[in-house]
Amino acid sequence: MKPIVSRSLSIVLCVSLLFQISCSKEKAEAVKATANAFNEQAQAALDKLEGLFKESASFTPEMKEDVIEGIVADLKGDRFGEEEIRQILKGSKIEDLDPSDYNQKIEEIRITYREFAAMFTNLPQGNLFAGDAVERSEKVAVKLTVQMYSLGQHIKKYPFVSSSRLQAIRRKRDLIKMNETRPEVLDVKMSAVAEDIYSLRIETDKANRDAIAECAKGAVLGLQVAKLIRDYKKFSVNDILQIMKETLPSVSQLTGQNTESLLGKLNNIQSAVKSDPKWAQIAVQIEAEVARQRTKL
Amino acid sequence: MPEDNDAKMLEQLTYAFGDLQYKYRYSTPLDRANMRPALEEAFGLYQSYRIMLLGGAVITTEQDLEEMRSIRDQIDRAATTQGLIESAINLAGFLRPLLI
Repeated sequence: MKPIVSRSLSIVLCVSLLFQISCSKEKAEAVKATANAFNEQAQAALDKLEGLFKESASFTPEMKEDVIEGIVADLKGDRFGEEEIRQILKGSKIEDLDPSDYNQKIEEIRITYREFAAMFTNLPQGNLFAGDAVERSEKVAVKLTVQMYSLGQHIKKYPFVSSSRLQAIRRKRDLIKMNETRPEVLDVKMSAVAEDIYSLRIETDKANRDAIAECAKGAVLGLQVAKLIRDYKKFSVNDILQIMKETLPSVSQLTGQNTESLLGKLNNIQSAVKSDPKWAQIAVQIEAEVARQRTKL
Repeated sequence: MPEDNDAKMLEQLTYAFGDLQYKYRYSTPLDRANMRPALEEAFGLYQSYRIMLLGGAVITTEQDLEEMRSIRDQIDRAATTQGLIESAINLAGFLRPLLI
């Protein structure tokens, strides 16, 4: 009788273990998928930021006729020799300014989000024994969420303007001022410049707002992954699926909102971090670390 | 309206850089070649200041990267252990009918 009981018990244990593996594998898959989505969203936000910086140092494109006109002006100069012709050749092409230092800083930020997602690559395969490791990742999840929030605030505080668009407007105004003497025509032409300035204002707001929206989406996903990590050991598969179902629509709804409402969303995230006792403690630690770093600088 | 000294400083650097950029863009090629070093210097200042301000929003450190790599190692080790156990369970299931 005893061997039969022991055999049945071992079968029950094996089935229960396999059941547990399959259930918690879904939880692990959910954490992995949300962490990947967080990384992808953070990269999209950083793409926007990189684009805004590049645009803030861009040149208006030059037509061939403009280049020829410039070279003709140089050819008419008094001094002309080997040096001049080589310099004309060099200056006849506008080379973009090198943004690699800024991009390097962005890359440093990108790496943190990539590393975060990479942590969970093998979580579904190690879900039964990785509970403690998942718990350890909570602090960095909160930190990266707060960082996404801070990047959105940074763009709001120090917005970017397209330099090439500004140059075109300024040039248009200067040419009108230089060549137009008839007051009634001058007014009409300057109205067109004013329209350009108005359009640029709208485009500038939109470009900065889009970047803030990407940061807000990232912060929403970051908060969700932090919640999944916080409750990884106690959440059921249904709880996790519910959280994912609630998060995805809220992320997609963020596009197209105005800056204030996006910043409001970012502020909600800050409140959510501060309202959780453990996260509030992490936030205090983050603030202390940041203060220490700034003292060192 | 600038809200703080950083914003004021950024504004001044942006004006100086933008002004030089405009002059450069609409100069003749010969003048451009002469202006390029000054333009690059102005851009360098603008870029450095932007990087400094961006740094204010960055709160992750090298220690965080090390921590994430260490957590990843821990999860990878858990996956290896679990893989071995799952293989053992599967093997036991396969052998059971042969042993009974």
